[in-house]
Amino acid sequence: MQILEQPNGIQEAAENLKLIRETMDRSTRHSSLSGVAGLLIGAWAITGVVATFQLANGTPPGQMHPVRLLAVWAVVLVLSALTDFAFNKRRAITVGKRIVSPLGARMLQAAWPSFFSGFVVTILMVLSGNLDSLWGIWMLFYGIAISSVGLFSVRPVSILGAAFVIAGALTLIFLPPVLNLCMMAVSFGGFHIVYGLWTGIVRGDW
Amino acid sequence: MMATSMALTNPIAATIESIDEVVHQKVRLSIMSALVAADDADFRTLKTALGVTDGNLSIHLTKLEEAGYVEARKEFVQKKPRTTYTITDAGRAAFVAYLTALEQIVVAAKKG
Repeated sequence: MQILEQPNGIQEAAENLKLIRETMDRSTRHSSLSGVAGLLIGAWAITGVVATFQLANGTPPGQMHPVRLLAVWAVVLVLSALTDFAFNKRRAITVGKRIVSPLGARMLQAAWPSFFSGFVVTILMVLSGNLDSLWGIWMLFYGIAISSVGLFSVRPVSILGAAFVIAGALTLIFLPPVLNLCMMAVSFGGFHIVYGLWTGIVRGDW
Repeated sequence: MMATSMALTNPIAATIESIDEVVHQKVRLSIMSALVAADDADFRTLKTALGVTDGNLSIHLTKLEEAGYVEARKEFVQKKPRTTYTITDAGRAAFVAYLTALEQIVVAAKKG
């Protein structure tokens, strides 16, 4: 049975591909970072940068006491994770889904190796006293984790991940240590805020 | 006979002839796209995501279930009944085959 007729079939094929893309995009939207969550996570990161500068008290952040430095960023990490969880849960409820879904489990499965590797490398860096490289490494591993999650989510998540990977590589290779914290503000702060604004304004997904 | 000979000489026509009619219908295609992307979805989620009526959605879900492309799981959540739909292996294979066919049609058309 012929269900598509040429040349209309070619146009219909293109339209159906568009329909598939849009439907898949809508169906995974609840699994990506919402606009407000992006803004808040960006704000937590900028607060973390300011707190690090304050605690460094004039000394280069790379020479700070590692426990203080890690404590600041552990708080930022926990606040960010809680923000993401709370907003995702709210959205999942509004679309009638559970936050613990097979899709969520696959995302976690994709992301945990990068987060765990980042944690291990962080410990090694702290033990070897090389705090200056921490910032770039965090961007790099976070970017890899987000890129992995992006495989199961909407395209902006993949773009966000790629931006972090590039920022991490630039920080590690080109940036002088004195500018590392500024790059933290630009990446963990700025990228999340840009993502949040874009998601909210363009996609209407606050 | 004419359609067969046309299919042999025209790759687009051949691909069009291989299209799965169950998947091809717009609402059913949207249902399958949603389930492939999200793994599972309940009736209300599908209805909201697709913007269709209860009756329309129900008819197409039944057709997909009959084709063995979708499975329904009934459960009670906070004492309320909820039916969650998942795509089967056969459904996923049919969806991938359909997607491949569409891409082949578009690519072949672009090549002229």
